[in-house]
Amino acid sequence: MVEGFLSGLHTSPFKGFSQEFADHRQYMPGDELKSIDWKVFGRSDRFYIKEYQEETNLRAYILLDKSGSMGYGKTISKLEYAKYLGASLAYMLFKQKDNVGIATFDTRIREIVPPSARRTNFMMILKMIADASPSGETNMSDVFYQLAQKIRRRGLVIVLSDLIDEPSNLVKALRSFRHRKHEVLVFQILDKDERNFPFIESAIFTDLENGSELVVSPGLIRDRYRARFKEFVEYYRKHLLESRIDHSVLYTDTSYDRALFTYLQKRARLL
Amino acid sequence: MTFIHPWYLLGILLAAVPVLIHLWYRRRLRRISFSSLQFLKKTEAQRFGWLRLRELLILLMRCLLIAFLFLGLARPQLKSGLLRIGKLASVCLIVDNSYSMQYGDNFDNMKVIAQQVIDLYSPRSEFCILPLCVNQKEKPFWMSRTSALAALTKVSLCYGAGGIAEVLAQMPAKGSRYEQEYFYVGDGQSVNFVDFPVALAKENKFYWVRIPTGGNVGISNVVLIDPVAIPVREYELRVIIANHSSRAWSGSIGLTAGDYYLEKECDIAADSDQEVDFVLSTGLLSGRVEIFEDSLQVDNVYYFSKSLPRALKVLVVGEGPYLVRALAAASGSSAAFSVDNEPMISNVDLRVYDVIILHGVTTISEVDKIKLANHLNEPGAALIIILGDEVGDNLREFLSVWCRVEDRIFPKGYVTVEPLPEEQAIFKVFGPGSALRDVQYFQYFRVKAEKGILAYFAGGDPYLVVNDNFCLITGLLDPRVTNFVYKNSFVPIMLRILVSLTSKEHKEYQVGDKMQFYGMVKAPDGQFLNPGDAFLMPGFYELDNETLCVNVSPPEGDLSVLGVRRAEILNVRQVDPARHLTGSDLTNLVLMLALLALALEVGLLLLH
Repeated sequence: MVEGFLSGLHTSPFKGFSQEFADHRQYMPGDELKSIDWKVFGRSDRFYIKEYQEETNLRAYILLDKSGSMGYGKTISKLEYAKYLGASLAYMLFKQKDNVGIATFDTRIREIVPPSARRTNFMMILKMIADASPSGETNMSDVFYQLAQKIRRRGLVIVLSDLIDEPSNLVKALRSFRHRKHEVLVFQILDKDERNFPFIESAIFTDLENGSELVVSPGLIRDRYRARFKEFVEYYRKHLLESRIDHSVLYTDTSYDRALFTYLQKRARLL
Repeated sequence: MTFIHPWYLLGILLAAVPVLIHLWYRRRLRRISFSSLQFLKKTEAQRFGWLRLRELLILLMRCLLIAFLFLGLARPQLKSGLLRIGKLASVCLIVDNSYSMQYGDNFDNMKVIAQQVIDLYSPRSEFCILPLCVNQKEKPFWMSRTSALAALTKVSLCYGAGGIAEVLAQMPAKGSRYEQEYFYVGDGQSVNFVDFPVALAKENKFYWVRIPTGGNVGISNVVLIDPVAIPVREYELRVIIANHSSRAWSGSIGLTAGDYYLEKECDIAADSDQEVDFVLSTGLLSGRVEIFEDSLQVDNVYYFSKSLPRALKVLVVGEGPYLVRALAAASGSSAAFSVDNEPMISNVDLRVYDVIILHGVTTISEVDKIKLANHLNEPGAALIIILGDEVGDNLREFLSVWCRVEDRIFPKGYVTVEPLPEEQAIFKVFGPGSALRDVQYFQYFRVKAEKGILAYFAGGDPYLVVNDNFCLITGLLDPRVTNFVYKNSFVPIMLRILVSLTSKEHKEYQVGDKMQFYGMVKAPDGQFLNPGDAFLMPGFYELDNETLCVNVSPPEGDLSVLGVRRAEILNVRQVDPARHLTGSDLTNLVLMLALLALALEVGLLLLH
């Protein structure tokens, strides 16, 4: 999916000094001796130079929310959507030789992989994404403050979350990334049922995060619910825009193209 | 608190059903895992508390509805201080269906209260329904609660009167199964308590559920003003109207006789009688008098049928001249008597005479004695009067068969032909200024007369006895002997006595009287009465070519009730229906609460 999407959009990355091996080539006069691969010489009595992939300046951090609320979704859960999206972004970043790291969190930071362009790093990221399962409550603002402390080098912070938390605190926390000169890209992942609240019969609604229950007659509250939810999304849109934080609302049935395109636009601005 | 049907209380357990349904429904509710209840709670914030409260209130109302419903079916009763609820007893229920109960809604109220009394007792109790005024020939008997309620509905109003003592005498001879209790439900007129069995009430088992009544105006009698005078073309009729009320009454009185109708206005002071006189043609002897504007209407109509006095045939045996002259018509008056004078009765046909006076006869021959005795045994025998200072032994012996001395009485005042109570000392025959007004009477014996004898005799005090209620002292009608009997006084007295006693054409009866003559009588409702049957309703009755009148009992129109003091003396315990019967039954209250719970539930369901 990502390969197709990238096709024609990017030039090949240039080769140069890097820790990441790229290829061998015949030694040419003028090449530094330290570049000679002595192991190959030992095997073949020929001089070959090791070429390394050049590292870019972009350091991307994918912050994946795996709180309980992310487990909700009609066809696929928000977390699954976020995982696909996260994996896609990581792959794209990896393919573009960008440093990509990931952190998963709920009430606190659960796992963190520092940014790197290495394949092993990428594989770790994929594994971490694959292992992520929804659990616990959310305390995103604290988590973001902690992450802002941890991420020292400026880079691109990609947040994959439903942002179901106290909006004002959360916006302040996201601003802390901006204060540290990070670029922030927030993908607010929601389910259409959360927006439309299409339920008809009275039912016991269970909170996926804390397990609390509430008997609700949807018909009686649907309009007010929708209005409140709209306010909730609008709040982020408005305040994140003011903080120059890109905010994109994605529903679980939204095509990934839109998310990737948003990312690429952002990246283009950054490079 | 007690319950008449306690087994219904088990139904209260069903009040748990709504709770169980509620819990089951909650379990049945679909559970939806949702990302966060944050918005739902915010949205519901205002309504959440109310909705939850509403849900609980609806549940509560449903439970209460069922609980109250079954509680009501159990018939909860508050314990009364006077009566014990749900008691097992043999209850004798005397229901007042006399005509005074026609006042307002009293009769219907009586039935409702009587039903409440039945409901007071255990359903396994036995009951005996005794209507105060009994028309039916059926004997009362002990019956179940259901039968008692059915019998109660069949009790109908009666035009007669009744006494509690008379009704209790009809109690079923068969012994009751439980301890007996007595209830009288009625207006409690004093007349109902005549001869009340005090011994019964002494056991504190006689209760009177009083039905409040009011005042009444009724016609108590219609009489000839002068029952002696022999009218030529017109006669005077006196209507006596009694106002048994604490307020004055004003109204009109209408008299209908044939085509004749006359109406008069009348004002009667509180608690008093009023007499209204009418003048009628001698051709109009029967009719009806009616008053208007009164609550108890039964005694507002009086049916009358009168017989006018006629000249009587008198036989004077013995010393005749003075008496014959005394009985002769005064100048200017019609002759009241046709007098014959004979020395002895053996040669006379006694059947043609209305009165036979033995005047100054001391002895009587055996032939005359037999003849007189035979005559007295015949129906329609003449009235026998014996006047004289003394009688011989054979006459005394003869008279002792027909008379007996009862007791010594001391009359004073005047003489009357009307039956009077014993305790009433003043007798009245004449109006003011009459000749006998100041007569001083001697002490004398009262003699019980039988078979129509007017007799005397004891010692030297001659007197005349007229049946039970009339006594007249007299002596030999000789101016030398007596100083007070003379024409102007004796004749009118005799006239009144004789006319009154010889008036065999009695045509006015009261409801409850039994027919004592032969022949079929057609009642106002078209039914025919046989001899011995009682008159059941007021009105005109037809007997061959004659018209009989039947009226209600005048004392029954007196709505004054047994006073508290007198009730205490009789040990009659008054039951207040509001406090002891209706007030103790909480059924209606509980059912009202059930309805209220239902209304609240519906209201809550409609309230979003």
